[in-house]
Amino acid sequence: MSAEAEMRPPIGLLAELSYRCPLHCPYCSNPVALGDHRRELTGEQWCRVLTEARELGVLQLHLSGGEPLTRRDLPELVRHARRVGLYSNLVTSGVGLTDRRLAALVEAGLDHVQLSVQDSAAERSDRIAGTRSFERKRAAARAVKRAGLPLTVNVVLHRHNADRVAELAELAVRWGADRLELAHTQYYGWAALNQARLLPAREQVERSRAAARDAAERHGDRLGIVYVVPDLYEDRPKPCMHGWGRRHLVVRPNGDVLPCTAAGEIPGLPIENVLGTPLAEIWFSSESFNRFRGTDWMPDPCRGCPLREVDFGGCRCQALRLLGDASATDPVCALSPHHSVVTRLVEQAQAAQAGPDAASGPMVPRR
Amino acid sequence: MTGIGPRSRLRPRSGVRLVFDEVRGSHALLYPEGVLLINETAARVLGACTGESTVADLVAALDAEYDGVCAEEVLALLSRLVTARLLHVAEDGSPRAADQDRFEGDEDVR
Repeated sequence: MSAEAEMRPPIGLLAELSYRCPLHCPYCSNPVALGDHRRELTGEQWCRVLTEARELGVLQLHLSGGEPLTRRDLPELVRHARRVGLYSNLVTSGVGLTDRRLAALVEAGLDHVQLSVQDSAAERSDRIAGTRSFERKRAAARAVKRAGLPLTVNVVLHRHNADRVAELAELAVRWGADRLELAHTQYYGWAALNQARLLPAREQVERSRAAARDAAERHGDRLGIVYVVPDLYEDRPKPCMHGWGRRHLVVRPNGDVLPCTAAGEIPGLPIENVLGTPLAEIWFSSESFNRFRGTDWMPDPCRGCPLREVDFGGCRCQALRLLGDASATDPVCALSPHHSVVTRLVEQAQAAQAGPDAASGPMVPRR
Repeated sequence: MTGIGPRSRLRPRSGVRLVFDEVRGSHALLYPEGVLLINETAARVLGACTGESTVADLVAALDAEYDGVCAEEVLALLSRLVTARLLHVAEDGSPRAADQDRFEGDEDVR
């Protein structure tokens, strides 16, 4: 389908309010080179973005970062989001989410909290987070439930925690969560730097998948469980962002607008900014949002594939990272002529897991 | 199986909001991390799920308003929404069978 035929309004906006964060997770998807991203839009500018987003068709707002609570004006942004008709999700580490701050957000109209947890026990969770934070997360969960908001616990899975899915489900139940997201690491940003130390071996992936199914059976009456597979172990690619420029857009702290969080890495992709161009114009007309929209851009084997409107050719940023070409078929696909690149990565993970220091090697913590 | 029947009373789970989207000219159900665009009839059914009336009451009310209301179809819609954890079965003595469809599996790949 041509890009024009694919034109429809976006559903979701990921608002990366700030890249400041008290945590140092080695799998962070934020850009490794922060550079210009230290500059942040003002509250007034963000409110304009939210108004434009709703007028464009966005219904879901993900207030993310970094840590969105580093913005003191967060309640004003939530209030504005509610006023224009957006559903607001707070995506937080929980650090700083006291009863008092939460009360202000609830009063402003916050709909839902997604709380990250790094592992099922304090010491290991704090080690991955690079800071003492587990007890503050527990307190944050308690505050969210006291305030009567729905709570999602989100855990990024990797080699060092993927064997504790059952314990993580117990924790989610204990903390009163309504949903548990178990999402295998996606290797962009800091995670790409640490891939060799994070990628689980195949057996571990299978164990975690089985444990997630068990947990869903055991806790299904209290907890909705979403398990996001590690795509490197699949033979068909993920439908990244549900298609380029099709459902979602990302606005960075400085106002840059991207089709996905990692798209800033794609060389030669011109990035528009909300300060210079209306959001609707960026969504419908910009080169960046049209570059991989629809199916006309696709190479073989995607071009003639019956699944081309199911997986949209997979992930552009993964094709770039693994093949140096953002317009290639995602090599996760077994039909890709370069699928062996992925097979090799997985074999390396297998070998590393068998090695003596697999669990203790140093990772580069997010700064 | 979601174990709902004519005597069940349903209401939206916390964090679920029914809105009308002026941009698309469509009703929409907003919930944690998701959006469901729904048609007029589904919106009418959902709007009536306040935990007060039973599914049977709801079907009767719909029947009075529209032609050709099918109780099975309404029940199927409500079951799907319970399975998707958007509606909640209020504690009214209706049987609550174990829910086998809660595992959202491998669909949510981003």
